[in-house]
Amino acid sequence: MLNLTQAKKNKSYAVVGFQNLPLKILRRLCDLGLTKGQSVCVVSKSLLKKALLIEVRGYLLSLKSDIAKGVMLD
Amino acid sequence: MKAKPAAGCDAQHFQEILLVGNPNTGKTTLFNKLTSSNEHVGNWHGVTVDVKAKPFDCLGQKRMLVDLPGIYSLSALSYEEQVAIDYIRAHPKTKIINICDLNNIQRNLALTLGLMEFGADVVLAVNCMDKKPLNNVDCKALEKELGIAVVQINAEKGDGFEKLKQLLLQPYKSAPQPKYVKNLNLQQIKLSFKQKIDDFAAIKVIEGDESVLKELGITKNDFLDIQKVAKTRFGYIATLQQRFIKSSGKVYGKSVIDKVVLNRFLAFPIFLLVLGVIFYLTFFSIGAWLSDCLTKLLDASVGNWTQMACFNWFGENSWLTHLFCDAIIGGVGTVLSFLPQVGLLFLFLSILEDSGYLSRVAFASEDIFGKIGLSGKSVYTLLMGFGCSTTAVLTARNMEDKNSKIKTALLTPYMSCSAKFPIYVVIGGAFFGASNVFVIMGLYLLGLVVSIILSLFFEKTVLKSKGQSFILEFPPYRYGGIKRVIKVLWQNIKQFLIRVGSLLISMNVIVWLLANFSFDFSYVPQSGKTSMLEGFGKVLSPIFVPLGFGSWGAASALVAGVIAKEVIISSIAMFNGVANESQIGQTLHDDASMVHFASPAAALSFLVFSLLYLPCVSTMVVLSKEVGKKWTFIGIIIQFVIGYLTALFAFNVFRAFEAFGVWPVLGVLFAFAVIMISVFKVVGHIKKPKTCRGCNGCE
Repeated sequence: MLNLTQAKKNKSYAVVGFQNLPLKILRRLCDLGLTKGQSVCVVSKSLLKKALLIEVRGYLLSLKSDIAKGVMLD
Repeated sequence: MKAKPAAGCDAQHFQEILLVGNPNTGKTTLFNKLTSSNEHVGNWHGVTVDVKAKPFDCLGQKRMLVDLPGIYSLSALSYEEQVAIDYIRAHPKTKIINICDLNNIQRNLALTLGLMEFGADVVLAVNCMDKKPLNNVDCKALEKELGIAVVQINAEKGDGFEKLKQLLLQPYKSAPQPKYVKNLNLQQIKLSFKQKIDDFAAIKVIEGDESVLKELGITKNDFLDIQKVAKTRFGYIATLQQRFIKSSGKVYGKSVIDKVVLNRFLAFPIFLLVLGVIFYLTFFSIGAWLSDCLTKLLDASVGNWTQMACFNWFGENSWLTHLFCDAIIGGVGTVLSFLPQVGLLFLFLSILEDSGYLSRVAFASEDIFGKIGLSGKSVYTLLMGFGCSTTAVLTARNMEDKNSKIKTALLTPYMSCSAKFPIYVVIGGAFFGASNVFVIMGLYLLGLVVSIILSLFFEKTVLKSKGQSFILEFPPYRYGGIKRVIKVLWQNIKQFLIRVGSLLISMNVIVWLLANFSFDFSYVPQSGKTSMLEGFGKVLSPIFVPLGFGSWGAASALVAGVIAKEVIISSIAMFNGVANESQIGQTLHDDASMVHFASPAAALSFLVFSLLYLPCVSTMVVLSKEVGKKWTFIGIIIQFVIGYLTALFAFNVFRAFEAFGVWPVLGVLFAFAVIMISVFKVVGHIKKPKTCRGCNGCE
């Protein structure tokens, strides 16, 4: 199991859970379709890797790495 | 639950229709088209930050259309989302147009289902603005499955509006609960409450929605399971997709351009290059040429004609002739000549906003902005600050964290807004000639650097960003077309002319009267008495002596500039009795002029102070509304102190350059900076608690 910041670029993973995320953020991720079992793929990372761009449910979503750390993948 | 009345709602109470949807799906485009309005639109998450309402003709019947900020669900993360959700929940028996982007309908449908759970009367408007959409939807079959009206529209062209209007005239009918709701076992939750609660409230209990829990008086929530609801909703959407949506399989917002634009090492340099090109074209190339042409045209036509007409009507020495020639031709004419540059700047900002590029910039900037306690989203607000601080401050609303919002709003007035540019061109041009390009670039950079340092200071002290998340959807790249370019250009020119024609003329007339009449209302050039403005200005001018520009004229221009920054340069033109920018330049060297600068150092100090000293009144009003009176007051004080100290520093360093040469002074400054950083490091090291191996520190 790894978190979203550890995911390799352009490789698909399945979301298996969430860790240490504030309730509001978790709810927002769910609203945006980031649910357990959903496949995600990291498309790009910013220079210092503080932000990630992921592909989920057919669209692109950028996330702060602090949030991405709480998204667990398999 | 309190919801603000919508801006634009007047005494006529037409039946309301709410426009609800995810951010950047075309809500305001539809609003503009239906109500023939000109509300601001853009290809960015959260352009609409407030509730706007306007009546429209719905097949012969009047209805009030209410445009709400974009939301992803009926649980808010930021202030502007809360505004929209409060409004929807405060108007339960109101028809809703739920606008969905056809290209991203799978994600957009989650909100539709949320609105159906709420029991609203939803008309699903599937917006298709592209020639080749990524998805195709069978509206009739979807309508049958969901039990709500579904219509495909093109918000830009007006396709499908006839059917949409027909649906809006249907009597109110609550949407049925989505089919999956029965699988959520809501009965158990409902039974655990003494009071009767509906399905929507029960679902919100599972989602842990703070406002619903508060209304129900729940402190401990045993039913919290956000994933359960989300998985069920998206599971249902997946079946809808299988049955009714044909997808091309392409990713919404993905483009080959991003391989270069989002390259880790190229993203930021590309952004700086884009900004450089915009500023070059606006201020030094096409913009400067157009401005020059307009100045000549104004001088040759309107200026000469008005002057001759005044001479004939009022006589050469009448105070009315001087009022018209100095306050209106001189003052307003000087600012008017910058119309092409202001128009171009707003046009380029608008093209950037429409293109979808700003989301990419926000992504690339998160590294830097995150470190200084802001968010990549702040880039949008700060960039809009190059146009107009007042409107830019409002965009800080889409920040989720309150402290980040306050910081972003307070930093916006440090940007060089379009109204400050004429000051740089006129005064800088007079003292630095061809090198003024670098002075102007330096001033733009100075605003950014000061705001970064101040943000760091706030982050380390009183405004630590606590919960600023950076969750941003990427829109596709778009080009609005030539029609949109002309429309934006015309809107900005119109706004500029209205501003010049109303605020600037009235301010110039007031400043001229104060500068030419004494306290006993005698005309100063004839009576030789001290003018009212000179009286006030002389009280203030000693404050500016250490900055090198202690004349009462300069002090008065700065005070008048608080109303609107354009007034600074128009006041100087008036005080020095000239009609165009090149003439002002000459008078600024002349000791006999009311406003003059003894040296380039004094001129530079004035420019720095003008950039930083205070926000204009309208920005102050918006700041007060957005961040509260306390923070506005603190922000203004800090801004004045920073403006004063930075101008003092610039004045003395430039004088030192003149006296000792550039390199020795830079050497001293560098050595001073190294010493200061070392001192801070040492102090920080001493203050740090000492720890030994295997120990977490002594008490």
